Formats: sequence, structure tokens, C-alpha cells
Amino acid sequence: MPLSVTAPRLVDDPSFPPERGEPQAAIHFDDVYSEYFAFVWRSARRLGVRPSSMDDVVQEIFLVVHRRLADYEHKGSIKTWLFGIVRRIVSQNRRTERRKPSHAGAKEATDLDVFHDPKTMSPHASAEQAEAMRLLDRLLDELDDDKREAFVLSELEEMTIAEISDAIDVNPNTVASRIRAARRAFESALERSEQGEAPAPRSERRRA
Amino acid sequence: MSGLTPRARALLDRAARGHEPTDADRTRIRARVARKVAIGACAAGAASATSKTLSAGTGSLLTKAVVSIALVGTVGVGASHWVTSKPEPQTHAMASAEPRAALERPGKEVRPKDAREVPEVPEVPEVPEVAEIPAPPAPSSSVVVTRKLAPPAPPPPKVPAIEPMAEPPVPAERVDPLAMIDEVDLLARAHEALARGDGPLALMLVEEHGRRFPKSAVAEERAAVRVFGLCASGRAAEAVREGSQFLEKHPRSPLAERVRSSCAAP
Repeated sequence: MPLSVTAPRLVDDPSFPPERGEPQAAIHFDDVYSEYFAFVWRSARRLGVRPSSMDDVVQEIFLVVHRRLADYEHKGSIKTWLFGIVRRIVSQNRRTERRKPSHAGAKEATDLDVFHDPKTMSPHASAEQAEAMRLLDRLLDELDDDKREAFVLSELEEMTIAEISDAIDVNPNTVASRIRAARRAFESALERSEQGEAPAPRSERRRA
Repeated sequence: MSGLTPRARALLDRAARGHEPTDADRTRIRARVARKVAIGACAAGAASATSKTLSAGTGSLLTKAVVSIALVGTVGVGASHWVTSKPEPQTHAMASAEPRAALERPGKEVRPKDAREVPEVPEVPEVPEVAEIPAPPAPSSSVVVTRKLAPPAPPPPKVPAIEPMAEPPVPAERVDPLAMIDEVDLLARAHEALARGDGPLALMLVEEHGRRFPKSAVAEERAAVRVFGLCASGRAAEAVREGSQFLEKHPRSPLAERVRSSCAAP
């Protein structure tokens, strides 16, 4: 399906994104980028991409989107299609990161460096948010990949089970099951963190 | 279990905002993606752009484009690496930077079923999932371009052992294909994008041209192509403004008439 830049822009089309079964219209990369950049960025970050790798990962995701937008078949929402790409690129990135020496990333930017904006947030509020983000990242890191993505989509992106099922291509019962297990694991990890305990060993995390 | 405890929910609410990208993130990544796409577009069009531009281009560009023919072979070698390592990119809209209104269907945020209210269904064994997005078959045009750009090299001549070793070739991965495309070729690709009606890509290439060759000998043509690119992108107001600037600065330009007859007509 060739993409035409001269077609009417979907931004003006109130029926975008099209529901299943509706006539298909050309989708513009610009529109996808504008509308879903934040979703892609957040998702990559929450699935475990380090701040220092975010630019490379998100760029790669959108290059894949650019190449494959013509193949998008309108079978699901753009959002769930995008998440399929995000999880694959993030997974590749995490495999690459794991192969790097353990000292790599030692100079990782702190959360404060990354998002503190004195115009919108006081230093105190910024520090609190940074601390909350560090804790959240640590707790998410304790989840295995399947639970993590189910948890992120459900609790942070507030997607429905049907949408998550589409996004990660597993049946809804499995999604529900993963969400419940992820919540239990997350609550346990939070409790351990509040009690000053070390993270659970990896084998225990898988059973959680 | 019906949901998260209030303390876990509070943590998520507090931390989640920190994962939002900034406007600078949005702009920076867009520029990076645009540049990559431009590189791909240049490489994919390396074989055909010059000849098409020769027929469609302007007089002064025509002369300069002839010179660039000699460089096509060199460009092709560098570009062919990109073409073979990346599927041929589509050339859809990339350059317009205006923020867009929300695309979501009104009321879409109303969730038919809240994932937070997970029904208590029996645990089911997880089945292996096939989540990989199947790669589409490589466009045949990529293969054709590759063959055109990089014909098989003849076997190297035998070199006596006593002769000094030549410098090892730079690995192709380190070569930026855009860096091997000269200013005339780059503008020729912008012309080609215009001929296809792809105004945004033409604008992107012109922007790249301006960045790399700020004092270019073809700056006049570049300015005109930018005006035409704005027209082709539906950015008429900007086209009129830049068209006026062009006519004021280059009233005797061979491109002036085309600018006057474009959407940029004052």
C-alpha cells in the first residue's frame, strides 16, 4: 500500500484510527509520530531501556514504523501494532545491554538530570519524583519480561485486557493471569523495598 | 485480587509522569529519524535521480548535474551498503513539524473494560507466543538499485610482494552515505522528490543540504526548491513568504517565473 503524502491528512479525519472493518485510509507517518511518540517513548522506558539508550531505541522503533507502515493492515489499533514493534526492539536492546560489561552505564544520567525542569517543578518535588521513578524502575526490573509488559500496559497505560491481548499477541485469559501475577510480584517487591530488603533472587521472581 | 494497593497506586501515579518525553526529545528523535530516512532515500534513488533531474531540472541545475554524473559511481558504492543493509524506506511525509491535534476518536478513552478489574479466571498455562512481526519481503527495487550501484568489481591485479601495502579500506559501516553525496546530487534528489509529489521529503533534503552546504553554489536553486516543497506540502503561507523573499533576492533568476507561477505567487 503506497503511502501518499497528497492524501487528506488523517488529523482532520474524526474516524481515525479506523475501527475494525471500516474502510482503510492511508496513514501518515507524521500523524503516527505526532500522536504516538509519547506512548512509544514511555513504553520503551518502562520496559527497561536505560535513559542513555533511549534515543537509539526510539529512533530504531520509528524507523521500523516508517518502513512497515505500508504493511499495517488495520486489524487492530495503531497503538497495539506500535507496541508490538516497541517490545521487539526493546527486547533486542536489552539482550545487547546484557552482553555489555557490568561497568557499562556507570555514568548513566540520573533521573534528576533527565527530567528536572525548574519551570514546572520545585527542586523538592523534582527530587521526590526522581526517587519515585528510581523505586518504580527497580520494582519493574524485578518482574520478568512477560509480567512487566502486562503490568506496564495495564497499570500505567491503562489499556484494556483486549487491547493488551492484541498488543502482545496472547489470549485474554493469559493476559489476565499475567496481570494478576505481576501485581502480586510488584506488591511483594514494594513491601521488601519498604522493609529495606534486597531484591528477590531471579528464580524467586519467576515463581512470583 | 482486584487491583493494586493504595500505596502501590500512589507510587505509580507519582512516578509515571517522569516517564513522559519532553518537547526536546520529540524534536531530537524526529530529526534523527528524518536524517536516517533521507540517507535511505538518497541511496535508493542514487541510480535514477541524476538522469531524471537532467530532464526535469532547471537550466543552471542542469549544467551542474551533468558534472555530478561522474560522481554517481562513487556515490553508488557508498550508498549500496545502506541499500543492502536496510530495506528500501518509504518516502512518506516526514518534514512538517507542526504539532497535530489529537487523533484519537472522541470518547475513545472510555474503556469498555478496565484492565485493573481483572476477572478471577483460573490460571492458565502460558503458551509460547509468536510475537515477532514478520519482515516484509525485501522490495525488489532495492535489489535492482544495488546492482545498478555496485557492479561486481573486477579481480584486483596481482601486486608484487615487495610493493608497500595499500591503506586498508575503511569498513563500509563507518561511511555515512550522505557524506559521499555532493551538493548537486543532494539537490537533485530533492528535485526528484518534488517530481514524485513528495514535498516533505524534498523539504527534508533541502534542509539537509542547507546544513551541509551553507554557502553552496546552488543556494539559489535550493531556495526555489524549498518554495516548491512548501507548496507540495500544503504549506502555502510559508511558501508565499519564502517565495517573496526569493523573488526579492533573485529577481532575474531563471527560477523566478516558476516561483511566480507556483502557490507562492504573491
